[in-house]
Amino acid sequence: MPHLASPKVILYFLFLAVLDGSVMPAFQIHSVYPSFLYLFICYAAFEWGAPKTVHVAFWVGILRDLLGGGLIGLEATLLVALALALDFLVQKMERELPGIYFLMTFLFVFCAGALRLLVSCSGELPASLIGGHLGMIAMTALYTSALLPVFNFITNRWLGRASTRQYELFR
Amino acid sequence: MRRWRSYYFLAVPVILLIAFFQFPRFNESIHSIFSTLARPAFVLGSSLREGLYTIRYQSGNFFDAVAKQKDYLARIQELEGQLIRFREMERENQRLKKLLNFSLTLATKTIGARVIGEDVTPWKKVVLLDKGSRQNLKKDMAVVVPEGLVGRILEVEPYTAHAILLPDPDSRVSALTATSRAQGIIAGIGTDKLQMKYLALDAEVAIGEDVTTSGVGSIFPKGLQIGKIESVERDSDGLHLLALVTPSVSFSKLEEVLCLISPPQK
Repeated sequence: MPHLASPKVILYFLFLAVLDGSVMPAFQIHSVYPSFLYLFICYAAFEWGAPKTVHVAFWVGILRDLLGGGLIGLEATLLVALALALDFLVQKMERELPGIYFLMTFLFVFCAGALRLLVSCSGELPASLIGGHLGMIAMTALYTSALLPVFNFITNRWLGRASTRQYELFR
Repeated sequence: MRRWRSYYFLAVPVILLIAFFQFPRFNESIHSIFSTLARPAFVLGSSLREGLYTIRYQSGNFFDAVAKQKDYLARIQELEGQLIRFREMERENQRLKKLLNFSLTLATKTIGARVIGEDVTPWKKVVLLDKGSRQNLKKDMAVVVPEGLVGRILEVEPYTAHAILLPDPDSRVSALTATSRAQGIIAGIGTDKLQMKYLALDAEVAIGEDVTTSGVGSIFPKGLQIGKIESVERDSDGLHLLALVTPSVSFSKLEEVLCLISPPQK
């Protein structure tokens, strides 16, 4: 498990930020494109465990706040809160269940998008539009979680895979 | 304890949020600094994105073109098939029109027939017609095309008939040269040439002279074109002249013919 302050992780993190900020729109399908920064939080939760997820979520949140141009700390707070919930769920979940990682990622991305929509646009958008936006967020979550195996592969190649977990010894 | 530390960490972004909410100018300054610092990376990223857009657009075009190419190829094949059929129909139409015009010039009634088969023996020149006795075809009827005489009906079946062509070795037609009026017998030799036998030794037959039916013998009407004299020589018996005649009809390209119904007018 690499140290979060290591240049390798920081470089990868910045690479993902650039990827999310300016390259990912090239992969959009009907205005829906995935977020590798969200995937990085999920990856941290699945591979590195509790304390690091929150730190990653914090920095991802700060970065997304800076990229988005809104109030700094808003998305960071939401993502840290969601990262805590994700950590909790990851500790409780049955890892052998097929599709569980996909489901967790989907829920995380969907909740992050939905909360962001709720906090930033509450009272400003008519209720009829919120349904459409939630649909877009669901599609984004689906697209993002579909890329989880690819992201895992790239990240494992770049950062090196974490050592074998306790649960993996008793399969 | 480590778990609780994570929960305490939630306070960090909350404090940041409150601080930036309270000091919006500071929030703007941070954004400005970040934008300035991150600009080169995002410029690089956007050029990469443009490249990806181009690839995506071009690949989209490529796949569109491939899909369209398949459609176009199928369409071209279909249209080529249609074109061949139309050309064939046009040629048939021209032939039939010519045949019709020719039949109108004849003094006798005619029956049109299509050549549907032919004898494959090299020297035999017999063809099968798609009309027979049910369509009033009779034995020894003359068979003609606009270019001239083809032959005569050899056998008649209810729905088909066999016609013997002039180049068949068993074919005989009484003929006349158009200018010198020399009479002879046109006989087939199994090739694409005909022989004109029994020409008088003093006949002044010229090369290139037309040969027509003489009307003698009640089978063929008088004046039907047969061919042109190609060469003249003394026959082997020494009593007659023998001429080689190039037929005016191309027997290998026969498709539709006319059979003359009425007996020849003498």
